[in-house]
Amino acid sequence: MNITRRDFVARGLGGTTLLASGVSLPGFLTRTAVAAPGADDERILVVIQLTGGNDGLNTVVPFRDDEYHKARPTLRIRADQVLKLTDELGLHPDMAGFKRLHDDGLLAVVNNVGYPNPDRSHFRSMDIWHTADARPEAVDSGWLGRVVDRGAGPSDVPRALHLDEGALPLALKNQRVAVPSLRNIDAFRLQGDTEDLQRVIGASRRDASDDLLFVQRLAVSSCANARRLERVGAGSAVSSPYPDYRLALRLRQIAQLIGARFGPRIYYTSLDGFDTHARQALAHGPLLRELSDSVTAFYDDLRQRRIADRVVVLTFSEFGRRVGENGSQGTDHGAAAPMFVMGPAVRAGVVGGRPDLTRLIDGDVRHECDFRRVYAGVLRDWLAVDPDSILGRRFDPLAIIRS
Amino acid sequence: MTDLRPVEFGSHVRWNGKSAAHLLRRTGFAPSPSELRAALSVGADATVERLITAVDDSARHDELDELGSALAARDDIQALRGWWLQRMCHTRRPLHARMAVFWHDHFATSNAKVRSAAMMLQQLRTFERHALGRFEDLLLAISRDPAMIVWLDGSENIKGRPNENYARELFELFGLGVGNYTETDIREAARAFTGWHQRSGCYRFSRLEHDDGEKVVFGQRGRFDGADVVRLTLQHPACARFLATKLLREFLGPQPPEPLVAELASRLRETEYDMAASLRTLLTSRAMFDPRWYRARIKSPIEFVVGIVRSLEMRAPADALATAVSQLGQRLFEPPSVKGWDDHRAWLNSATMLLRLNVANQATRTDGAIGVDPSTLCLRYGLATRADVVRFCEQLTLDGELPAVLREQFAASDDDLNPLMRRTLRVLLASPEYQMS
Repeated sequence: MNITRRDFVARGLGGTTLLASGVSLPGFLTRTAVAAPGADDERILVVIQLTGGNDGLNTVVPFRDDEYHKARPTLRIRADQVLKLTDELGLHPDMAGFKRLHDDGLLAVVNNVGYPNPDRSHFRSMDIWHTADARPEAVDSGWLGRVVDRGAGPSDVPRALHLDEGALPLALKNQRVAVPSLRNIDAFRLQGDTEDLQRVIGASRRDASDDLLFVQRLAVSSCANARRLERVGAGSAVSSPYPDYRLALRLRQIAQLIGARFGPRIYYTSLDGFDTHARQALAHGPLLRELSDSVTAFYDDLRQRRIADRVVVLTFSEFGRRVGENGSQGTDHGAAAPMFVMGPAVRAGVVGGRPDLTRLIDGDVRHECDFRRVYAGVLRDWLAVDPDSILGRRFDPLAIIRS
Repeated sequence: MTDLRPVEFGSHVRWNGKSAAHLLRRTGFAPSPSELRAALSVGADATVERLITAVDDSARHDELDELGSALAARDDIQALRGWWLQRMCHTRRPLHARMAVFWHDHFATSNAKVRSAAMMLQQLRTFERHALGRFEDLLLAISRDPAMIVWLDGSENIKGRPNENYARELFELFGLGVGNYTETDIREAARAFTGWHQRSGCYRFSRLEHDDGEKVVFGQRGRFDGADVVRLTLQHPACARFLATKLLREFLGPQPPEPLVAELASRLRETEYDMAASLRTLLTSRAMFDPRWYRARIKSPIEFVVGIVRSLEMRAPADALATAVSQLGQRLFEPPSVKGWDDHRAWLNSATMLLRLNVANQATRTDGAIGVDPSTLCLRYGLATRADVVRFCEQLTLDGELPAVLREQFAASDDDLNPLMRRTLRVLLASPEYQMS
């Protein structure tokens, strides 16, 4: 449901408190309070980081390849178990959700993604994916942080949001305005009784400095944001169900924020646990199920909210894993792996063929597509940002978004 | 009257609750009623002197000092963050505490790369040791600081293969500012720092990897080492102005006027960059009490949160402090880049503003982790009537300058004293004015 200007004024700052208190709000503050920061057609990118190094070969399985079955005597997934995407590639059996997204034309797999001279340190390789820069010099901004820095629009609206445990990822680090990092959106709710508060915030000030007016405007728009969120939150009781996973919970909150036009164009969250050195099968299937079911529920919700068209989801991991399993029924740090790009806007299907397991480098899958080509495609065709200026040099954008 | 001549209080500028609170906020945190009373009774000069020479010998402080080492040994950076904030809440040397944060921001080093709470703590102790000392000593200590060496790749800086990272930031961000040096100066200075390495968290000079050949820096020629480059940096005409600008931004506000920068720069030079002497001049100057700077800076998250805790004499668990301050955008030990945090307006967007409103709510709830205790305050400060309570709250938050319409509203309330204090503080801490220092 769209919140109209009149509707908002009636329910929000205008109607109940300010007028009742007899204090008038300066005109420009009123405009700020009612202007929703995100336009109806604004495009949103949601990034899900798969932390620890996801085993690409058991995610998108080359089920016809004898080399694969030879290399994975205990961990292999048989042809009759996979959820087939093509004649050669199929999804892990726990990824029924992604299979459905694929069949609905919402899911693209970019196979064998990596970068030259792959680094097998979690930390270093993650930095390379975050900064989109493999040079050894310290880079102190992330690729998405640089997008935020270039962004136009009012500075009081957060342009990106990290919704997760832990520190702000390097990918979102930028130079200009702080990107908020939150564990959950309860922090975006205005807590406690708000009537006195809005009266104090909204009261007009004589001789106020520009800086004080700046703060006042933010306070007013914060309350407005909270109100918008409350209304969408209340409406979400009818939203489609989500599975009981932490990733699902965060994605549900992201859906609420997008629905509320909260402002950010970029959302970032993660799923940890992919560093499967031992007894991988016990951990890997459940993780893939969490990913697959959570994202599927997210799109069901977005479709119900009629905003699915505006959202693209991208997944990545710092590396794939070794082709040959180790002695502990696990896999060690590897190189290239698939990325998933999802949403009604993507060109669904599989980009790139099966990995060539006869031409490995140091026992790892060789990359065929530089991850920065995927970034470049998303930057150019989805976020409408010049990829070269964000990535620092030219990468041929992968045409992953439908034009 | 924006100059550094000593302020004379009289009919123009009075030494009263407003100016005293202003001084205490700028040199520390929002004051508690007893801090404010002490400042009013001894006067401005003596207050500044106390701030500069304060020694914290409380048992609580020593306890916290030991705890810091224990947390660092466990490599628990989040706990160390809370510990640092809790020490700010308890310290009797607020100016030193603020300067330690100032230097952390100035020499912004992040644990995201250093990955050692022990090294970060060691660096913090260096900031504390030199907080009000001579800038040269600090610059030299930081050039040999293990966390800084990891942060800016000092150990990669070896003879024949100089790494310019530290030399560049020394000029650009720590000492001079862009435009005051050449790329050749950087290359030559990097050679002077070759061999300034760290191993296992200790500074180590590798003689074999040090290039002791001749260098040319800022047009001067010599077989310079790192200490020489530090000295040359301090002698560079841009250095004092660079530091003066930054100090004025911190103590007065954004965009300090040019003549004031020049005046403080010359004060820095004539005291050989003695921070205590230079700050004494600044803090007792006419400029310090110029009304144009009153509530002219937007509080950092630390000033906001620690100020609430100190001024309202609250208990605040370390973890709650660390979470609040980090969420508001100032994750200690993890500045966003080597440039440190952007200050003033950059602290606030609609998300961080909303979080501030919620911190105000949390601090005044009956069950908040960081929470005010109205009955204790009423007892301690003899608040017996509703008018007492409202006046007390306005005084502590807005220096008694509550808009009349709001004062009437609060006074007309028929709440009991405790809920009235919670309700009044809640809105005052969330008010736009309170976000300003």
